[in-house]
Amino acid sequence: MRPTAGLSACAQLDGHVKTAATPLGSANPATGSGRTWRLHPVLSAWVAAVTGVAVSMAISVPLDLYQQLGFGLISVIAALLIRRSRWGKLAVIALIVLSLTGSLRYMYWRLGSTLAFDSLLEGVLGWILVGAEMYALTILMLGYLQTAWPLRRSPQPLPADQQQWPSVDIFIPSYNEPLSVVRMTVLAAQAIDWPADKLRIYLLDDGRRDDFKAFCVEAGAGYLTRADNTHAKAGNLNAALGRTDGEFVAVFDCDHIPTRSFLQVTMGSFLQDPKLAMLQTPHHFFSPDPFEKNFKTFHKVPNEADLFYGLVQDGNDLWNAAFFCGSCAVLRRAPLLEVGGVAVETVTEDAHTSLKMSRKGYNLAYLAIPQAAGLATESLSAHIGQRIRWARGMAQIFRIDNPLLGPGLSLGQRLCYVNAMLHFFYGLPRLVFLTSPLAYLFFSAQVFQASGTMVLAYALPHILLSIITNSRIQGKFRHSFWNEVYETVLAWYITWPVLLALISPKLGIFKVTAKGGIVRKSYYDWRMGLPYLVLLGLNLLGLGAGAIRLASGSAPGATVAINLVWCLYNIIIISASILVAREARQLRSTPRVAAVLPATVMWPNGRTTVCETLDFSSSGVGLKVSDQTKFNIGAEIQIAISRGDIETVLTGVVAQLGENLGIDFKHLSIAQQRELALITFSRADNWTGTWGKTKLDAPFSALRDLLVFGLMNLFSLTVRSALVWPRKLGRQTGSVRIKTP
Amino acid sequence: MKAHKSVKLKIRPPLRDGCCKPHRGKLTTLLGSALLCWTTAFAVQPATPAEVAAAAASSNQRFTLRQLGALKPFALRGLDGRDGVPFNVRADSVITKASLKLSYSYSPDLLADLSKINVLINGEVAASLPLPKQIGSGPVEQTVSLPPQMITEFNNLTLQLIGHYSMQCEDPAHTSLWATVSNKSVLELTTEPIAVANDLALLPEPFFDRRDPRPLTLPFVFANNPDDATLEAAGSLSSWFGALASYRGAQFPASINAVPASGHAIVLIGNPSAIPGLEIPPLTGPTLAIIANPRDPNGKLLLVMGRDGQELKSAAAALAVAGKSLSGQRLVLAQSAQPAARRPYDAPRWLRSDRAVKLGELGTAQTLNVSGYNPGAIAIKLRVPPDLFGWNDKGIPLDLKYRYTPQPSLVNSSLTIGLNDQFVKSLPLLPIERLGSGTLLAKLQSDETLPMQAKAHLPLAMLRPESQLQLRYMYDYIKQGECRDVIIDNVRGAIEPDSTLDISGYSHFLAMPDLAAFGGSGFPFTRLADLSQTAVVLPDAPNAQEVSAYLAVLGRLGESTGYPGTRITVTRTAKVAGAADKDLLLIASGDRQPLLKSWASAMPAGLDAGARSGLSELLDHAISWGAAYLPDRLKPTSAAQGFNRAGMNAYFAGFESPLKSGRSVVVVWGAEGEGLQAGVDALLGSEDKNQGIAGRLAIVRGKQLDSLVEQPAYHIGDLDWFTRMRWTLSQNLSLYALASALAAGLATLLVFVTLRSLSRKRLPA
Repeated sequence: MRPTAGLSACAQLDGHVKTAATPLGSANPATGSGRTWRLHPVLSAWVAAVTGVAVSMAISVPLDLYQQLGFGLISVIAALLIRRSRWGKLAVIALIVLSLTGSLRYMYWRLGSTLAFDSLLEGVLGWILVGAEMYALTILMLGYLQTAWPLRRSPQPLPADQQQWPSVDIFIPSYNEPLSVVRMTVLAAQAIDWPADKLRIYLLDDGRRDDFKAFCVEAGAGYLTRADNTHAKAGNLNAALGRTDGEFVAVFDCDHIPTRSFLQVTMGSFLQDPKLAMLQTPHHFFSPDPFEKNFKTFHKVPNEADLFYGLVQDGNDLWNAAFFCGSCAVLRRAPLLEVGGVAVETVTEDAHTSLKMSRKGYNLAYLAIPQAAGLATESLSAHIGQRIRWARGMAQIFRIDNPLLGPGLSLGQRLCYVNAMLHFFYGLPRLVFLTSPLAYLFFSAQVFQASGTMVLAYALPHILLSIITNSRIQGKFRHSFWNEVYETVLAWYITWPVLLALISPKLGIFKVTAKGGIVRKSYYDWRMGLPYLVLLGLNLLGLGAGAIRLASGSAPGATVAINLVWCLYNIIIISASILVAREARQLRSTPRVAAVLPATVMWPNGRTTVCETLDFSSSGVGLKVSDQTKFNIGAEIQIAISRGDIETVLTGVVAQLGENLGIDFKHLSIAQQRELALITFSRADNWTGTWGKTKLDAPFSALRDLLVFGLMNLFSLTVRSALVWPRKLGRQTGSVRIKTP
Repeated sequence: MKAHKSVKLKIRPPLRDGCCKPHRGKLTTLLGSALLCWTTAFAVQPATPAEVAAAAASSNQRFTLRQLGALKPFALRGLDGRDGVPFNVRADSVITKASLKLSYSYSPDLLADLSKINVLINGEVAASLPLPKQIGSGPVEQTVSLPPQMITEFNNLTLQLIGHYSMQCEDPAHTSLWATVSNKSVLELTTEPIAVANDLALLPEPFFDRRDPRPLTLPFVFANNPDDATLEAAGSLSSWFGALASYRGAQFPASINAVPASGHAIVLIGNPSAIPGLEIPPLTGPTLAIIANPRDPNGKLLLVMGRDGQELKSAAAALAVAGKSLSGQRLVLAQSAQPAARRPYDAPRWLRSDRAVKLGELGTAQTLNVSGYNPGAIAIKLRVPPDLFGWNDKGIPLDLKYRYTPQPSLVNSSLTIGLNDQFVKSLPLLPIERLGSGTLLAKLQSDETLPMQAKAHLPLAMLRPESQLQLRYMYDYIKQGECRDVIIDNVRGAIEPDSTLDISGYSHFLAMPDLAAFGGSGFPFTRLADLSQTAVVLPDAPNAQEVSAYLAVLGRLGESTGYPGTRITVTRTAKVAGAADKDLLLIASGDRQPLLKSWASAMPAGLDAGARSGLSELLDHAISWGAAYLPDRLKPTSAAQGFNRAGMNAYFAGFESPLKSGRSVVVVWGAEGEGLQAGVDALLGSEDKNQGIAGRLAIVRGKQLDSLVEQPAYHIGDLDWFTRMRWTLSQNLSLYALASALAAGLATLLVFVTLRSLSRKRLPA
């Protein structure tokens, strides 16, 4: 079926590209209209100089309280107007300029006028806070640089002559994942539309498991192992590089199931740009990550990865600094070998490899079209373990191959790479922000040597402008304040490994992220949640201390009020973070993907019942039947499911009764599994419909959501014990809608 | 005369004298090398016979204690309370009789048989006054005659209260132990002149004697129609004497062709002019000589001579710069180069602005050390350039290192930092128990004082032209109970000489016209201490009043800088264009200066009332909106309205030079007759130089002084462009808003265009 599918996949692709490009492209009439006016170089140098002077004036001219309040008010109003405007990218840049002016103005004032500390305690605490603020400002500025102009690359057409299509090896590394997870990935990879003689699939099994080998032999995929497990995944890939010879290498984590159009969408760019060494596509998850699972926000609020793959990587692409993320990417073999294969010096081999290729002058690209989907990490502990590894790895690169130093990079590349690393240093600053108001509420330590009103006049525009700006830039990919929750959850755990890696890159251990598992009952992960319970307790005490201070009238009201509001905000964020550690029940080891397809149940006696499918996983299907009396638990039935011109007949056992019938597949042959893959996971437009389609950000409602989540959680934790949490949480079902033909 | 040189140590030197000593020392060291060259070049004339001793003519001098330096009445407290003032006797006179007319009051609770007020001269009791139980209230007046033999050249008059209120245990801090002595008490000295040799080595005596606390009045005698060079020479001399006279003030009445009938005088002679009554031997070069005043045997004339103006100037410069190292009765000087030109802001009396200044440079070790539980403030004189740009600034950083005797237990001892009697900061003097560990105690030095360090900032707004940094140790002590108070006066405090004060970080920038800067510091002329950027514009034929005023103003400038104005330029109305590139000091009386008319448009508004248009008033209104952000002394005052010329004796006016922008003009104008003298008195006279002349126009009517302060018209100084721009924008909010909007718009556009072209390069065509 593979050779014939080429044209139909291309046809699907065309439709898909249009749908994907329309919402992205329509937002920027300024670029769409193709005006080509340009500034004369001398003139632009002058304009730049005048701009520089004017901006430095706007930032540095000191104003008194009311003038500064006026400045803040005007700029916030301007920002709100611009946010609603239809100027496209011009609006984004105007917002960034406003936000940076407000923030730099704040920092100029902060450094110049608020640091005359009276005592050692205040001095130490105060400087720690300033350090954290400067870090946050740096990240804000670099973040703007990265996200100001997402490149929005589109797929390049392949030549009509298939002889010119290059050969591709697909690597699927695995170490300890169950075969049930890996099986679908291998089969879907085999289903990729590409000339058969130019496509080879390799399962790289570092677990050296016999059942894997048997499966590969049966499925007709390559199976590669090696004697040891040095350098983990990087070593595994490098070993495979030595034993294969395709011009290109595509890498999929064993739980990332590619669509059939993956290579046709990606490979055109390589033919168009011979210097292109790597093209990355998004990591899309059809199962909820711990946040989505435990907050129950799956497909309502953009998840943590959405920002990175939806915006940051696309923005990096402008600066030629989109980097390899270990999976769902194609690499050109020659440059990869030129930098010595996949980097083994650090535990984030993917980013480091990209950095090395960038230094050699190769181009990197990012194509924001999801062409594979996989499982998100399921438990909070696993999520934290994964992030610790990323953070450690980035810190290692920062230490041993700092992108600010060394040859070969453009300034934009350096800054983008360095932000990718600095971003992971947020642990300590975040903890500082979560505890700073306590210094005043508990000890009356004036870590901010300025009057409360003055602080408001300078800090409010800085904060509001950045919220407004980020809401406009990231609205589709991250809702306001969620970033705080994502970071807060990790802050405690990430701090030490990052510091350790900065001190000595070799310190620390590497853990494989476990994927696919069952959470039989909801429980509170006390081990993970404990630091946040402590932080919450401290902030609640601080709230009490502040209330007493306010009531006694012994302290300046404005200062106490600011610290109280800050404290309250921290409480909201921390309570929301605590909620994540309450692991919700998850009954399936393979999460389901919703898909409504026509199906027919065939009884052993030859009769048939027409029904519809509800959802799929690789091991079962949910059916909607009108008459369920015919079904018994344990009864073996055959189901015919069709989609377009493909139809497959599968054998299953009734596992669950009810309005939604649960069927577990039994004895599926490789061919059946392949067909299952084709009608479910492999479709080219599977993921583009849902990806980045959560509701747009509205800062107030985002805050309200968090408030509700946080307070609800606080209530439930205090009133009921987390251990007797009622098992009323429904089954976890992905709500990806698969279009029926 | 030499017999008088048995100088006693001063117990309490007057505050004012404290400042000029180190400066003088610095002056000589600075010029030391230059001197060496010159002395070898001097051809010493054979000494003329000594002058015949003058006939004795006794004179009376009366000084109140206030004149001698006691700004407040003496408040004597405790069992043994003391206070005192110095008084000195001129070298050219001798005391024949001395008496002290005391006005004092004392506690009625003192025990009459034990309590006394002692009058001490140089530590010796000269008189002891009993303190009988007072019948009525009110001060007691008593005249005490002082034995003249106890009085030397430098003396200290101390009043001591020996007070007792009880025969049993006494609390030395008991409030009934008090006596006050009015500072209006008068010291009356009868002196007789003594013969002084005609010797240049004595200079500046007898023309100026630092022992004399009275204002210096030193006549200058000119031949007919002094030319510019002669006036320049006179100016450098008067500024030298002004510097010497220091706080006393100095005036130099000019007379043409006539030596004064009595007293000392300076005579300037440029060949071929001659002054009637003076026999001048032919000159061979710049010459200095001292002769007796032919009209007063006790008077001396200092002849400053040259065959032409240039020689006269070089003689004057040699005198001004090296006055203290000449000798002989008559000295012909080789023509020599002038001392190197001064750099801006390097006036010897001003705080250096090229590096941090150690307090040890400003005060002696003696003044920086105090002892006792409540010693007076350690006062350090500061003269700071008036154009320090202290916008958004905490103040001049003071890095204070100090030591003190730590007390054993917790007490409220403190070191208070003050500036011009205004509080700046208080540092607790922690006791031993709070200092805790042995590490700090280990720092205890053999003199039982403890090294400490603190930082403070002296706000520029508190500064005056002559400021006083006051560091006051105040020790607390704990009462142990009756009869157990044995106070051992063992507490000490010291300011380390290497404490620093640093104005090197400041830019110089000043909104002009600012007559307060002129009145207080002679600014902008004194920016260069040798006045090389100053041109004095006199009428084409200046009269004696104008020349006197010129010399007095120059004396005032010299007082500020402590350096003679050796490079002053004098020019006349007709030649003013030649001095366009200098700051101009216009001195005129009556209608004798036509420039005042031709420059009327540049002059401050008040002088030609009614000339202002409605438009400019509107502008003023708009500008005054921003006045809330101006420093206090620049805020418009009510004097801006309702100005009239009636009864005006003199005025000072400041404005930007019509000849060159960025240059300043200060006009000193007096009405015909005594007008200029009133102006000079106003310039020199005010006790507190911070008040008085200010703004762009200051009008003298008799003793009254009104200043017209308006918006600054121009600025001088060298602010870096960035700060200057920020400052300008902060003064003008709408401009700031405009700049910000421009910044945002341009930056947006620039970034947009850049990113767009970048994205086009990245995307396949």
